[in-house]
Amino acid sequence: MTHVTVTRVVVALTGVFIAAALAFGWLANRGAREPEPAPVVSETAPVPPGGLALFERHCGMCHESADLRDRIRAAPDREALRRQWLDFLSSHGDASEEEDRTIVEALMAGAMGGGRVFRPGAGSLSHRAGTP
Amino acid sequence: MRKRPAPFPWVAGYAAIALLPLLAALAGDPFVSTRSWVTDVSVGFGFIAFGLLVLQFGLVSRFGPASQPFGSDALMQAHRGMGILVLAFVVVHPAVLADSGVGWSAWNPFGGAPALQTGAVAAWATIVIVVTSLARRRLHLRYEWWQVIHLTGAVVVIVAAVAHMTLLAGYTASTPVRLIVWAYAALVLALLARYRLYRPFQLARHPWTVAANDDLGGSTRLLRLRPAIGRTFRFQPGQFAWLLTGRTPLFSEQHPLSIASSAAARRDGDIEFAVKSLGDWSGTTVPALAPGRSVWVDGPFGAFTPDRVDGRGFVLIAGGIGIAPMRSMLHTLADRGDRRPIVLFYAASDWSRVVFREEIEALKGRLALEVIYVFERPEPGWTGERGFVTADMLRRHLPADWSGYDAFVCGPLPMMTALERILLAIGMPANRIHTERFQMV
Repeated sequence: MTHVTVTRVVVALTGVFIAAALAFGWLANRGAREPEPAPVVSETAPVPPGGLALFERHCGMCHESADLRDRIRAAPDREALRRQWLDFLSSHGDASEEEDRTIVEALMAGAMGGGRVFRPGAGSLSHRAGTP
Repeated sequence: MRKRPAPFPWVAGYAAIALLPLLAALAGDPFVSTRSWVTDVSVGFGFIAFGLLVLQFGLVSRFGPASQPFGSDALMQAHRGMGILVLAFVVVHPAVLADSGVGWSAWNPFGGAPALQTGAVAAWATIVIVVTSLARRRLHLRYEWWQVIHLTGAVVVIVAAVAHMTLLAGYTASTPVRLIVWAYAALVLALLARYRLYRPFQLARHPWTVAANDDLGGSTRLLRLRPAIGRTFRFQPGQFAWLLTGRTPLFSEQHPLSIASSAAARRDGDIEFAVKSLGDWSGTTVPALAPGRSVWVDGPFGAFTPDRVDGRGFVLIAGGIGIAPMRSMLHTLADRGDRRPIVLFYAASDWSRVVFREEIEALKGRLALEVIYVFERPEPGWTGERGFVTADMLRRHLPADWSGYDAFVCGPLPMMTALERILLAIGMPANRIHTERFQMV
């Protein structure tokens, strides 16, 4: 009976696809590593080590750093913006408090010192290619 | 007899197409730092859901080489089952991402980052499609409106999904992945163009004319259609076709109907459909199709035919309008001079619901045909079979040695499900039991 065969095929494929998604999760991270600390771009605005990598991991999936950098540059009171973001991040995302501070400092330093831009999710592609 | 194709290569090919974007993402992983394993599992579900979404269009594209081996109803059943799976993956994808801090904002199609907004649109459109398909009757949604929602929703899902993946630019930052995603989107556009533009234009060049539209009683009409001059329409007995009754075949109402006439070539090439009044279209549009009116026929489709099996006899079980494909089979076998034994069980409420009675009686003289009428609510004095077709009834009327017979069952869904069980119970091999299910929605 064809429809019984079809049902069995659908069930079998369901198992295959679930297994594939689980395997992808494991295999995708097998070769990954913690990145090198981002080099300082400007002497006047040092970027906290690892700050940009933390941004990539915790924020980069949905946020583009260039947008945030533009907001920082346009902000009349950067200190107030820093406090506002730290307050917001305390209940947003899965980074720890210390990681939140590092991310915010990295964004602030990057905005003032012209640091690298991260497109949402792409992270440090230029870093992967070996360019500074 | 046509040999049945081996299903495994088709299933393997289907799985490969569904998994290709995922494999490309794995090969072109643009991320350097570690990510949460759970995040990547959710991304995996997202990629697979996208591949399956594209294949959903393929399953119902009426693409001949794909539908002929298994029959359109098998592909529609697969479309329904995989649609539910797509919904599950589409829901799991953002739900699991909550682990990465992407909360309920991922479900907001009206605000938030565009990358998430588009994902939310795709997810909600998928939910609407599946819910309206599973619960169309409970929602009192007309079939024609369901068709519009289904197609529009499917296009929205694909467009939003491609936008979502492109804007996120995670794994799609990798060129091969991006190319595959766009190629899949182009494939969907091509299938849509073929199915909704090219095919209707092809059909428009060959209109059919309503030659007769007769009331058979029992809320059933017999539509006889004549093809354009010089055109022949070859089909196998038991197959179906889509009847388009709009002003043009473009964006027309269309419904699948079993072809009820003989597949042996007629001089005039006419074909017939038996249509029972079951809703707005069958109860209002069909009766109004006057002789001379133009309609269009897309087909034939289906694997529900004795031409694809090698039975040494046939058991035909028809419930209500399920007699339509059986009529085609009987007439065809008679026209071919086929003398294999046939036992027809025709189930109906009572005599008033039986159609083609005189024809069936006449066919007894041309075939080795035995007919058993089974009435659920017979008139007083009826001494024949009553109730539903049961295992005992089958044993009483089937010949002593019915091994090698093929059974064809067509009727209401509960009847087909019950009879499949009964036929298996009396010892009929599963590969000799044939049904065709269209009541998917």
